[in-house]
Amino acid sequence: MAPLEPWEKNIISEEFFGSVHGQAGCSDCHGGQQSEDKETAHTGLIADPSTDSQKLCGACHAEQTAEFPNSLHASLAGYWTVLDARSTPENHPKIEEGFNNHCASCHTTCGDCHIAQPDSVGGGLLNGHMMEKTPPMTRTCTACHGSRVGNEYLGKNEEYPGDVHFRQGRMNCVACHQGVDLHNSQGVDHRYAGEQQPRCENCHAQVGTADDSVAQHAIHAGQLSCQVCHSISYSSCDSCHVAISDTTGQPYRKTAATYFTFLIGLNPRQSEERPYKYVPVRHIPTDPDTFAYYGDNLLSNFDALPTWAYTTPHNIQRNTPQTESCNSCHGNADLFLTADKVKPEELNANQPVIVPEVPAAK
Amino acid sequence: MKRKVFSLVWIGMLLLSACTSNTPEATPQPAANTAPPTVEAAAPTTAPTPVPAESTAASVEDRCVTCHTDKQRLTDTAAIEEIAEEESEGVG
Repeated sequence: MAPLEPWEKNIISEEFFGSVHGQAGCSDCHGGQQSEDKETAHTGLIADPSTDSQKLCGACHAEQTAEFPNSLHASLAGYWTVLDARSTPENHPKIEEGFNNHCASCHTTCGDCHIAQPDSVGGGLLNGHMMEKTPPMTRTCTACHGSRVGNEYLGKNEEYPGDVHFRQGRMNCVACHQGVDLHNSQGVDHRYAGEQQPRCENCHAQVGTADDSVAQHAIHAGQLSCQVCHSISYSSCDSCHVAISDTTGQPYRKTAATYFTFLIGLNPRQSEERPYKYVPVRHIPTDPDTFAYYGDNLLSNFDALPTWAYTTPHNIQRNTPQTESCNSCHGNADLFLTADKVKPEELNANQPVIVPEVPAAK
Repeated sequence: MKRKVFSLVWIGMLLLSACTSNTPEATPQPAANTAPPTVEAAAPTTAPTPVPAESTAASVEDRCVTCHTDKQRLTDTAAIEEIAEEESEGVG
């Protein structure tokens, strides 16, 4: 996504002043000072007033903002769930310093989706300050969720087609991820905790029923997540390290490698909502020294969680190499995360997902 | 002597009466001063009379809007962004 020119980021359209939100005075939300001089006028400016979503937006949109501060988009609780598990409390202050420098920009406000592009991609008004009820997908959703979800869904990974829901359905993110789910995470502390929402069955209600012409759906019901059969290769990454530049003073990261895999592992998050024995697993960009710049051995419980993580690739296809025949998977060790595919230093961490024995050929 | 005393009393009464005779007329009449303005007095003119406080507020908003609807002015006043050399490698 090309960066916006400075004026593009800040110009307000005439249309805005005719809208409901345009009836409020600028300073009612943004503060600032009375002056012709830019610097003086911007003294005390609140660039993103929606940071306090309930105070400002909640005055009219109480239902949408009621739980938003606790949502994963606002709280980034998912990060802390895994960082807490991999560390000990005495290390949290140093990890928090690193987190604030490198990870916290993923935090999302109301305005980051409905008014402007997220700060993490340079910011700038989406449409002359108009409130976009449905955020534009590529300028908000995949601007942040781009390197994996966006590239998979939109077909930007060379040699791999985009998701059928985009290629043929032209569906945008909110077609499945409805606003209510994005505003309210139902109190969960991880994206794969709590109710599975969306579920493929919400639309594909015939799957596994007597009306279903695909016998394999009933055979594998509850044992495989839908993505085991209907996704294709997706990107995995190794060992992200973060630091502050000696020359610029700016935070930066280095990710060691990115590669494409399709591997089926054991489900490390089995629950009533996600009962599957097998799920696709993706290597996530972390290692024991991810935060080494901030201190030694900060992730002292690194092996508490797998580095090959439960994943839901966004490149769904009706037909995949797995759907060609039973023995595309059965007896095919290439498709399974077996111990030989795991780095020796990560074997302990990945015991919950390593497949000890590949299902026998039919 | 009697005539002298009478004269002094007379002069004194004259002086006292002079002091008190104008007082009621100098007191404002409440009814006259607290009467609400008549409708005729507040009759609208063809153009609304500006209220100082509101005109100040409007001019404040105009300053924001004037700049933020002017492409050239936004370009001219944009802060020069120093693009730091990107040291990050790999996907985030």
